[in-house]
Amino acid sequence: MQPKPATGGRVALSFAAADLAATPVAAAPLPLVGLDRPAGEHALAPSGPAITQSWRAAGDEPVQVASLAVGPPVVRLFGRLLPEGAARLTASRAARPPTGVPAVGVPQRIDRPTSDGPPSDGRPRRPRRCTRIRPPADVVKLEDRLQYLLQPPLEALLESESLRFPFHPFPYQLDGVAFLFPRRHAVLADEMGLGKTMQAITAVRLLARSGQLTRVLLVCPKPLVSNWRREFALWAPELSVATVEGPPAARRYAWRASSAVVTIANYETVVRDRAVFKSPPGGPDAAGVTTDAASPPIDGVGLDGAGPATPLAFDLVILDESQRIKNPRGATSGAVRSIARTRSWALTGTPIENSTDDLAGIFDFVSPGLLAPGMRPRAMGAAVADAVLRRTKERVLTDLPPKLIRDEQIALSDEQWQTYQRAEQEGVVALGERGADVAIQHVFELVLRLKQVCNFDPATGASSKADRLEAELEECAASGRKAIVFSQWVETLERLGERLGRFGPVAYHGRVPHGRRDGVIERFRSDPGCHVILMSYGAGSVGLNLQFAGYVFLFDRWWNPAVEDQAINRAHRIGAAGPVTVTRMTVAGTIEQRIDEVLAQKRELFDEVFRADSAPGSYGLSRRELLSLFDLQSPEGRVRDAG
Amino acid sequence: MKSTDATDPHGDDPTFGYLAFLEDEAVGFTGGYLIVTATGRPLEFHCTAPLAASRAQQILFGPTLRPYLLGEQLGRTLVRRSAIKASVVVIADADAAPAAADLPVVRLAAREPSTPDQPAAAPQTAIRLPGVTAWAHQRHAQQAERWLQQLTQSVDPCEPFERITQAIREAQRLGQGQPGDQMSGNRLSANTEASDRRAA
Repeated sequence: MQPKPATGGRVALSFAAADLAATPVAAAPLPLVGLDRPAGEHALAPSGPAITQSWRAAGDEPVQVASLAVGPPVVRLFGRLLPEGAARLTASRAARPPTGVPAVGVPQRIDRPTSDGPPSDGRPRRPRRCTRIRPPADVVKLEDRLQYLLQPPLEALLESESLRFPFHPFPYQLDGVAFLFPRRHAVLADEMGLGKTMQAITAVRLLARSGQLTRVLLVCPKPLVSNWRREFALWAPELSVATVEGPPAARRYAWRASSAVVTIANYETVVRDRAVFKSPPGGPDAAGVTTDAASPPIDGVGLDGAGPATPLAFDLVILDESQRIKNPRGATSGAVRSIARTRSWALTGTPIENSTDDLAGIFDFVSPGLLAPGMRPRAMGAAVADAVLRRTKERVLTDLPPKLIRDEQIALSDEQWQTYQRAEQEGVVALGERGADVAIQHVFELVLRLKQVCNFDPATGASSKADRLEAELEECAASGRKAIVFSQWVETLERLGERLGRFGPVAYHGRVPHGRRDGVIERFRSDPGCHVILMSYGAGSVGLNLQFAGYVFLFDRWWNPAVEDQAINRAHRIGAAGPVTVTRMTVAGTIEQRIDEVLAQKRELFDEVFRADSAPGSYGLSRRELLSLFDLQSPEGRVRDAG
Repeated sequence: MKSTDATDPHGDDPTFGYLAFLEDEAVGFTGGYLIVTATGRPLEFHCTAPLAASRAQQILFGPTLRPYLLGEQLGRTLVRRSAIKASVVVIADADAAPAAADLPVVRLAAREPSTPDQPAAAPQTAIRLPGVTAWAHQRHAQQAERWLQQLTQSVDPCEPFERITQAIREAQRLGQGQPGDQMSGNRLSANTEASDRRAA
């Protein structure tokens, strides 16, 4: 506001606050004050009119003074009562104590210690670290975002009297809980051993306490069901847990009538019983899914069998080892995607197991439509940035005991070496004789046969690897330590079991009935005479907590480094008491060494994916790579895919 | 919106009204007021649009401009407009003290373990908390200390200031509270102190 100068005299301008506006300004001439106030400026708004007055000093010409009253500023407010505040206010007006009605979107008020005085030990009880629950990107309304931003730090909630934990979580685990808590679509892709289970359970616990969850479905591989039950009992003892298992009547009851907050089912059960998720229910299995005759599927009818029941719906569905649904055309993926749910979380240590399409398959469940197969890695990374949390041990567990990896090159005995050479030469000759008819399947069979010869001579039973393993286990047992031995084949494990009897071995593989597996783990854990557990990659590489084992032996190598990592991380995980020594046994000069070289390249490429947001086309062995193992670099078109 | 006393008559369930300000050379001062329970849980939140003084106003108010803006204008408006009447108003900036004329006011300052407290000027009394020193009028000091001890068991008594800062920044990031911004109906309720005065 620029006052116009009065004609024929000097102009001065003075200001007064509103309550001073009527007071005449000083008669003395005032310096000219220019005002530059752009239109729309949100400043103290002058609300009084400009007043021009003439003042005359003795003997001087009149001086015109423009006075401007400055009124109180316009203060614009934005804000609201939060749900808990509204409930409190209502309760206060009704002269009742606060009802404690859980507020939507905010954790329920948690009981606090009754003592009003300072802590008895005199030490400050304030949390040292503040983990904020930040709103996810898909929460767009400011009102909703503030609901999260205004919450106290996660530590303050967890340290409350009624939310005790058996162990104090690591800071990165609290970050993971704060990541999961507000999200409807989330993939927790931490490296194996970082405690995805605990993070998921704690987030469920918080959501349940805030009234946002009343029914949760957790789907996991069958061998891990009992592990999840234990973990829920440990980390969230107040949450009721039911398991869907057994004959159809029991499963139907568990699906329909259970009042448990958490329902645990394995993938096979979900596929088998998927009629309970569908509307309209019932009808034969149209997807052609094979079913176990001893455990037939249940239909979608109600408990009384009188008619269709309402399709089941859950507030949250969690998929553990979610790489199981990487194929969106598979029955497992179809079954879990058919479940009505509000929140969808996936837990996996290997979000990209073979190609970036694996991640797209997982997101078909987590957030359908967000990703599409064939997307460029960089675009894919950008699309899922807010929905995926992945941490590695190197990044977050600086105090985890070291993992020492030894690549042990073993020379075969003369006898076993001759057997190997004979098998390879005959196999390669056989492949060559097939000419244009050779298929990947034939190459694969040869690789398997040669790997088995590297383990044990089929004719004599000789095994240089087993000899070395025995020697290693002597030292392990003498020091009172325990070891895990992984192999691809049950036959190999059984032969090892015969040779390693003095170490009290136990076995955990596909031929061990599920009902006995917990007992096997328990014996390995508690029996001081049991120094070795013999595990197959398939049965033992996921979900088990074997931190008390200080040694891991990869007796033969798996095709995929991610699976090997999972196996190693049964021992090298949170709670590991000391260094974990991993021995990767490879027979020099054989197919094993060639596979190891290819896998090493793959591993480097995979690391590059997570650093540079670019993924390899494949993480396992491709057709070309399989052929290269035998120098069968045929012209394109000669080798057809066995499909 | 008329303030209502939501605390119980015995003072065992106090509420804390945290008053904080963001100062930005470009847009001026933005105030935020967060009322929390004794466990740190949020009950009510309000923030203002940025308020800047013109050059002329800076000259007019001189050294009193800041307490005028923070305490008498932004702060007082925020405290008056809240639905819940806090048991105690907590500030970090001494210039915000005039905001609450009829409520106890406590000023917090983080304290290094080895740093002695600043001497309290009467009638202010210093209250020592873990890592924090609080100043309150001696008339309220005893009660304020009891409440703050209660709060300290759950949260860092300075921590809610950080929440206010984040909330204000989020509001500004999303375009709320910007100059010339018109509030949309589905977002936070908006009102202006001046327009209310005019209506009155």
